[in-house]
Amino acid sequence: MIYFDLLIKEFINLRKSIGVVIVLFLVPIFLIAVMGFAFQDNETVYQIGFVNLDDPNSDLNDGILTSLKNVSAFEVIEYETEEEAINNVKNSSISGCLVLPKGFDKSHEDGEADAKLIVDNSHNVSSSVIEGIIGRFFEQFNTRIMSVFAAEMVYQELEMGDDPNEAIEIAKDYVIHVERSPIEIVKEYIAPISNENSMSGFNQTTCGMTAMFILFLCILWGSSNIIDEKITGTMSRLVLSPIHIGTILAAKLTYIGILSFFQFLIFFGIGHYVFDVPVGNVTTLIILNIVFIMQASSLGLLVSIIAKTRISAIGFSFFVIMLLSPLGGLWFPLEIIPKVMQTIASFLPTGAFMLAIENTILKGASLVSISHQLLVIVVYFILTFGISLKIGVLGKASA
Amino acid sequence: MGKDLLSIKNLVKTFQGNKVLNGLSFKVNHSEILGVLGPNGAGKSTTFSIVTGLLRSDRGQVEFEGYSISSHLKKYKKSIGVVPQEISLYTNMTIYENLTFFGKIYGVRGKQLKEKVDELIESIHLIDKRNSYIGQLSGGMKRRVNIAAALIHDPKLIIMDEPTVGIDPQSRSLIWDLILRLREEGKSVIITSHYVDEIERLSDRVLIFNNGEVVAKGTVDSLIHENCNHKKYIVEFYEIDQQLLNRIKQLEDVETIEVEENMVKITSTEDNKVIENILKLSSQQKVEIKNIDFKKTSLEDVFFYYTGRGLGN
Ligand SMILES: Nc1ncnc2c1ncn2[C@@H]1O[C@H](COP(=O)(O)OP(=O)(O)OP(=O)(O)O)[C@@H](O)[C@H]1O
Ligand SMILES: [Mg+2]
Repeated sequence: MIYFDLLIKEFINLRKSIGVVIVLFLVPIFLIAVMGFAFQDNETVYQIGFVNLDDPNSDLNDGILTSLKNVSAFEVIEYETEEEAINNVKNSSISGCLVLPKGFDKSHEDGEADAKLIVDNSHNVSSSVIEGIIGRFFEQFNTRIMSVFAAEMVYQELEMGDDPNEAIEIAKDYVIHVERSPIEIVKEYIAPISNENSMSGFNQTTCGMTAMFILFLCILWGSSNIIDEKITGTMSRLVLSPIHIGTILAAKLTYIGILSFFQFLIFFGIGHYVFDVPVGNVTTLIILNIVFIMQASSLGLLVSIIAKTRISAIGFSFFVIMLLSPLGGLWFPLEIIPKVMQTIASFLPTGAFMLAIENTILKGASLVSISHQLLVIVVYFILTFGISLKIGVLGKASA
Repeated sequence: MGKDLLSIKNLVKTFQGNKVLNGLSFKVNHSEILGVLGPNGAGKSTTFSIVTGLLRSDRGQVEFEGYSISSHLKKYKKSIGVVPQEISLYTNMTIYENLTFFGKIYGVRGKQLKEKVDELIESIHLIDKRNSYIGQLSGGMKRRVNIAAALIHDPKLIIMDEPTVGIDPQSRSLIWDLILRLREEGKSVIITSHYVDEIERLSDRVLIFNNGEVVAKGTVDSLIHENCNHKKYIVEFYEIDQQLLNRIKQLEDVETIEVEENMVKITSTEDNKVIENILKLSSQQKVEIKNIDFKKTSLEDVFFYYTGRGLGN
């Protein structure tokens, strides 16, 4: 039947379009695996700092540290100074820090001890989780301490021969009328530009969408544009001319880069002036985006060199975009995913971009403080552009 | 300046174990049109890719005016113009914009560029279409622009891979005029085509490629005379006679014989002796002859002789 011949023809054609096969089957398998792994949150362990500025030999301080270490959601790292711990919170290597100030043990005996909890509230998911866990932790601790205090009270006020019921009354009276918990938590936030600004919600969406659109324009549209020139043969004419191949590629990347830069301006322009998305350090923000755009368009160039047809270029592009987007935290905040994936993200151009842009808009980071992430992105740029130059724009066959 | 404009020696190229060029050598003189004939897959386009610097050969040399092209690549690229087999133009740009752009990438600028572009648009008879987009032109018009795009920088050598494939006779004769004019200006042209009449008409010399080698070369006349001195006769009878046919077959001078209904096609090296004998035989047998046709050997026959294949597909 003709119908089947027509149908079979489609599959025969598909044989040569590896890109389509990748989009149809590999991307879904990959995406569901990444998303499943990312949201499988039960194994999340928060690294939390502990600084004891008080007597190191105190039973109480020691008990707090031991109990804290027993909390399964925490991995406790001890620091000598508060400053060191705060710096680590600031650069996100730990999620929060508990400080026992000098004289902590002494003031607890008067029922007036304050423990300091320092968290980075720009990561508002992890900071609220930590606040919750620490809160509950000290609630339990307070209950234990209060029962000791109540017993002490009974011991002081009760005389031999009194009615034992009175002991209960005394204890009740103490517990009801006590003005504060023996240990209270004083929260301190790593100050972002404004307290209500955090990476969740609209700010995350704006940064993520900007990165997504840059990827789409640079990789998908950019590679199709170059493939078109290869197919029509105009690229051969360019290569035949005396122009250096580097100049041809640089002009191509600049063109795609300029279009992408306008996309960035649109997202952040509207985001900032209409919806109050912070921009932090504007210079850093612009340079970061330019570097990211250069990297993405160079990736598009590489795709166009590897792919032979337009349809496989589209396939490869989708694959790369769908790989880099979830792994780099474009669709959800990186802080909510497992530590392993956060580490992977920091070595991907998208992940490095998200980490850097977050620091830039929320904390006004300077170029120096995001230099690590910039370096990751630049390395990808050099690699992709270098490989493209080496292979040559017309593919392996060309000189 | 050496005697040869371009000299190609011993090109070898292998694609995935498949030897496409097999020690191919030839030369191009100053102001000549060199026609290249060869069956599909003979290696014509591959040779052109190597000669233009798009592809690297496994072995062999390409020398332009006595120097190796790889040592003076930039200068060489400016000296050649390439007309690709397919239309290679920006469809969303006009004729004028395309030609101007291709001039600029060769470093032609300003007044000189403007004049050259105007001159070329005139010579391809597209003045009234100069601001039309390539996408809106007919196939023949696109072909003409495709050629013009290779000429803006005044190259000394123009390489044309099937420049007239699939176009109307008018566009073709226009392109022929253009090619002949290039020779008058002192330029050299290498051209491939599957139309023998085109090669026969334009070329000063002809190369025949087969299996990645040059199997014959020379002027059209010398190729015909040196290599194929057979004559082809077609004798048409009113009613063919089996007995007569057998006797014709036994004639000494008959090389090959082919029978088609009442027609007998004969090739022979001897000039008119065969025909004399046939006339004698038929009058003896009393078989009447309707017509006798004599066919001169053509370039196409030479081509067939060397490649064992017909031209075209
Ligand atoms: N990039 C390539 N990879 C592998 N094989 C190739 C490649 N390019 C050409 N070939 C092979 O080399 C041989 C010569 O091809 P080429 O295009 O040079 O022939 P041609 O003489 O131009 O033919 P045509 O008259 O059909 O244009 C063919 O067998 C072809 O399959
Ligand atoms: Mg060819």
